[in-house]
Amino acid sequence: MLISFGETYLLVIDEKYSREDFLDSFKAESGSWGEFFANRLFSCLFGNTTNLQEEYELFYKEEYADFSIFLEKYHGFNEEVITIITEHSGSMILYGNYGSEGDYDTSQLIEYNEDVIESINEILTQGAKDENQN
Amino acid sequence: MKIRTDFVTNSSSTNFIIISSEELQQDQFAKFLGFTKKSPFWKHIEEAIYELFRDMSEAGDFTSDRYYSNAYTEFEDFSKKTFSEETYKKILKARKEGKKIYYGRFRSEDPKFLSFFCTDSILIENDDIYFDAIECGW
Repeated sequence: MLISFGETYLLVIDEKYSREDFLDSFKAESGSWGEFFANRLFSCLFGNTTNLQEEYELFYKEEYADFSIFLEKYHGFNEEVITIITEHSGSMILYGNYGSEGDYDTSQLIEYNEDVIESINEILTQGAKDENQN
Repeated sequence: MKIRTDFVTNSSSTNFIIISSEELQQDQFAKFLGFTKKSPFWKHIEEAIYELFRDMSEAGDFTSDRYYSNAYTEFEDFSKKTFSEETYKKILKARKEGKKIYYGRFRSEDPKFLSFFCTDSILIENDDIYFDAIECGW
């Protein structure tokens, strides 16, 4: 799922989630501008993110007693967000900043439109449903 | 000392042209862009296409278009000064062949995909439709 906080966001996603999963769920015609756009959307979201678990394990494990405290004290996430993250401990938690990948136009389309974020979540959760059915 | 509490935005617009072999339909244009009704993004592109079709005009109506007619004497003048040489040649050819030519503009304050079309550089074509919205891309 995509959780948006203004200029930044979290992606709570299966570690095996791929560009192909995203494109399959986006359902644009192959070779079309729609598919080109879907690729840009994926790159914009996944292209320049920080894996929070890895960040904690590699750099902050000694400084913060546990992952939840790190999320609260270092990143400033509130209790609700920390609960979502810790409830999905088997998933990959990616932290990103809209536009940091360099695609201003696509990042603006996502950042300022709640209903676009809803559609992205529909795509991301569709991938998860398909995986469970398989 | 003066303190400003408001802000100035730098709004922008992009002119576009669509050339079509026949009268263009909304679902045809959605298919041209490659969006299917099964896509979670369908509702966004459908809304954008609806507004695009509502606001765009045909080349034949150019001289009565108050927004453009102050700056350009006729459609050919607008086309030559606004679009690339390649697109201008396609427009001239399309006119000779009796194809449909639509024009309009996107604004950066338009919602969602229309704003995206304004700030991005879009050039898409197939055998039946040519869509150029490159001019003034950010």
